[in-house]
Amino acid sequence: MTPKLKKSLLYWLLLSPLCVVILLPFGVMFVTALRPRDELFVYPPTWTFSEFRWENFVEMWVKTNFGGALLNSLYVSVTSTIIAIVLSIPAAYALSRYRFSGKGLYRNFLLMTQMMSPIVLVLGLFRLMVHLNLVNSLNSLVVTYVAFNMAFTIWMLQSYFNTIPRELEEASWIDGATSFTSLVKIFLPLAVPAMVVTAIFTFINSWNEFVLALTLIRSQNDYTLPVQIFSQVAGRYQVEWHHVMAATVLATVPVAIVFSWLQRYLIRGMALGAVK
Amino acid sequence: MASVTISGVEKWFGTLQILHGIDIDIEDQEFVVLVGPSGCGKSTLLRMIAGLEPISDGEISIGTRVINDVPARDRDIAMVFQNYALYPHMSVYDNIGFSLKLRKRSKQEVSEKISEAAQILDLTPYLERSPRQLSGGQRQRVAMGRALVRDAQVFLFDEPLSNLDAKLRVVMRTEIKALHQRLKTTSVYVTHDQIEAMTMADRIVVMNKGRVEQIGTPMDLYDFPANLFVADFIGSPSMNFIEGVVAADNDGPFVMAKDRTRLAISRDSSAELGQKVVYGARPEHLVLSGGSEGFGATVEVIEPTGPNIQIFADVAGKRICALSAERRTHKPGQKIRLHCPETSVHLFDASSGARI
Amino acid sequence: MKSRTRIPTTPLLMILPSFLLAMSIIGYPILDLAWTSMQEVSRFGKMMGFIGLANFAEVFRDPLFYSSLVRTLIWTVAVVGGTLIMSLPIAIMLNDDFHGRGLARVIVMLPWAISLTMTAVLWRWSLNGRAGLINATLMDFHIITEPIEWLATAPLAFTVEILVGILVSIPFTTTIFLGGLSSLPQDSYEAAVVDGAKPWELFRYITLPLMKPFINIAIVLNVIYVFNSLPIIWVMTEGGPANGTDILVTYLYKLAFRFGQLGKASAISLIMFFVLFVFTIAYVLMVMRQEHDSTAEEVKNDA
Repeated sequence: MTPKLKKSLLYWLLLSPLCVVILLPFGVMFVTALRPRDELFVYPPTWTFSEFRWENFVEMWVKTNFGGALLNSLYVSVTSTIIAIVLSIPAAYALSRYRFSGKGLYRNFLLMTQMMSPIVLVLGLFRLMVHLNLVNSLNSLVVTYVAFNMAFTIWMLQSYFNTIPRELEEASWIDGATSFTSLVKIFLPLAVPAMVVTAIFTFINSWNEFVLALTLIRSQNDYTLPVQIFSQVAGRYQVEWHHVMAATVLATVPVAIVFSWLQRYLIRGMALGAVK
Repeated sequence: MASVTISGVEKWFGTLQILHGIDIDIEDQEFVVLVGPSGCGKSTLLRMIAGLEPISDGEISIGTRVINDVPARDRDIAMVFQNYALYPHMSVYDNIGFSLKLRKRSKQEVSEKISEAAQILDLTPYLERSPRQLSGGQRQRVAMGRALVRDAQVFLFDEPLSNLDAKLRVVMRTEIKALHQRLKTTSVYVTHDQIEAMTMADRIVVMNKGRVEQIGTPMDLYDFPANLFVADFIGSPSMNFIEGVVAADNDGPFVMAKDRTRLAISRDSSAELGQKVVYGARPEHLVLSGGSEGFGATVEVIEPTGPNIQIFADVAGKRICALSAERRTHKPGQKIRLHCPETSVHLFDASSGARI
Repeated sequence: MKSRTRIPTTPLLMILPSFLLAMSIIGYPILDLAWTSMQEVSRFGKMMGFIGLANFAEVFRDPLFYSSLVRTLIWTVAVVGGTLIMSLPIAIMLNDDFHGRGLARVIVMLPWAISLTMTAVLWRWSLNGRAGLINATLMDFHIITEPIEWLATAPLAFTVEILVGILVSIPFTTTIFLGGLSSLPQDSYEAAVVDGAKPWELFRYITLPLMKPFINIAIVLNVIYVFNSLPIIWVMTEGGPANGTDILVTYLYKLAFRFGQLGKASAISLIMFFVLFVFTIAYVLMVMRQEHDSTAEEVKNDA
């Protein structure tokens, strides 16, 4: 046995309890989503079930207004991601390229806003949205998600921008480009991958947010997915767990796949900027 | 093509002064090298000429035009960067042609200029490649090509060879010099490598701590360094320095080192008796003397380099270096005598460092 | 001719939109909370007038506040401690080269990809006393004979929630450590190995001291993120049974949006804001100290 193989076996042995605990609820999710309703509560509980009931998904979609919640979530996440990126690009560019007084202060300000937990401010935010007459409007979520994500997006973008050599822009100025041309022809094309990655993480953050959505959205038609699924569980005498699990499958699996695919960029981004 | 005039230029970063009143006149068609240790301000000065760094005080003109407030794109200069700064998302062809495209030249003119530049630089087979598919030397050539197609008034080079390996550096430095002889474009070249400066320059500007130490032709600087800094910086291996006091006896004036070693100097020297001085002698001027001439030394280390043998020896408590072309081997600990012809001796005032 | 130093307006204009938005969405509510906390507020959110610190006094008389506070401390110590103890060895393993490392990374990071709400929903169902498959699994392996009602009693429910809290904090913490480990100088290890250090000594004398700044940052950030853990408790037990799993964030949420005690809730929000503020300052100082070291280098190389 090679040393590497030995090490691999040891590491997997050490990691396996954690992996089991992480994966177990996902197993539960799948086997519940696919089992017939009357096999939910059998005694003693068991993993096995009689047939794959794919109709659960269709039933759930219709009964729980899943489509509506999905559209709400998509609207909020896409809009807030676009606005956050559009507002963050100039700020990140300024932080990465200019020397100006107040730069350090602004970075610390961003750091503070990133640390601010929505729950601490949720009451004040709710009252703000009441004043603005935005309660029950998905746009209240868009605005708050943009604000709470901006520190993250600016930071990610800035740390990637820092890796694009300043000399490229200088070379283009000397070649005769205006600042604007240089930005459009040289800088932005090189920054596209960074913007895509940052946008996807911002999207996932908005997609997963719960507390603000629970607070600022009161009418069922405007629920986002996490609140919608939560409302299927909380305060109900009879919970249709096979529907809940089917909905959870649809709400989490695509996001989890994208996230797993991109996580190394997040690690890289953090190594570059946030926590040097 | 044009001259470049730098007068009274200063650079401040906040309260930190980087450049102290720099005056340099660069003539039309001249190849001037700014050389100095890192942090001496040479790159900052170059970037001020390029328009990448604001000028805190003083004036820079190209030809007769003061360019202090002219943005980089309108200065009609071309620049080769240390890391080449090739646009990674463009082909070699587009990299070289970018400036022409921005100036809205016709397609045909652009393509002619690019193929001409590619011809000169041996880049013709690589025009469709992207920069990351090229070797270091090829990237260097593309950066040159980008400058070449511009027909700019002035070429600026910011340590363009420092990322190449030693062998390629020597090749490229000859190529750049040949190119300049052909195009005759006024060039300002920044480097920290004094050999690059010596080999390439029409005139060298030696800088240190934000000041100009000396301006002159390579041989001028080598033969008549204005002060200790230039004497030490130019030449490899460096000049040997021994501190002492000027004295005289029947055989003429000499510098007396700490341990009373007698270092002969020229009778024409204007050094005064009793003056504290630094005696300087280049390694190649120190010859092994057979007789009683010169001064005694103890061999410490021998380093053959091929053409020469470097003899490191102790003189008056200092380790000095002498070059010898003789194949005779010395042993560490051996006593020898070294002699420097009085006309080759450099004398510097010990307190001001200025040449005497 | 002397060219004056221009005040650079361009960068200020570039940061202005993001600054204004952050100020109004994050700054304004803080002021509003400070204002509300000193008002008498009716159930329907109507301001009944200034009452000074009476809301704060009421908070400090409230036994539920103290029990939530104690539970918050337990939660914080247990979750942060547990996370750190788990994450460092995990990060060291994941930083090492072994067969299937890519898969292991994906699995360990998985909880980060899923929203806390969904994770909590999954666990709530998996732990269901009657039909939960956790019980099924444990019974299959004959670890227990009877199904356990995991979430029915407060102490057990709170313990389970802490474990879920640890589980969801591991990916982020591991990421910080991976970033740290990848920045450690390889030659120190080679030098130590040449000097005859054993694996444990390498960890004790090289890894641990060099990782200290990252461990500090992980501690502070995880403490700060405790404030974000509301969904876990809210979804699994809603602070119950009988407020037995309430921590400050859930208690605050109940006061504000279930019992309509806005004045008191504002007071608690403000108290928590100051706690958060202190930890944030600690974090900013830590980051600044690190950056100071690296920018000092930059400036040196710049000139």
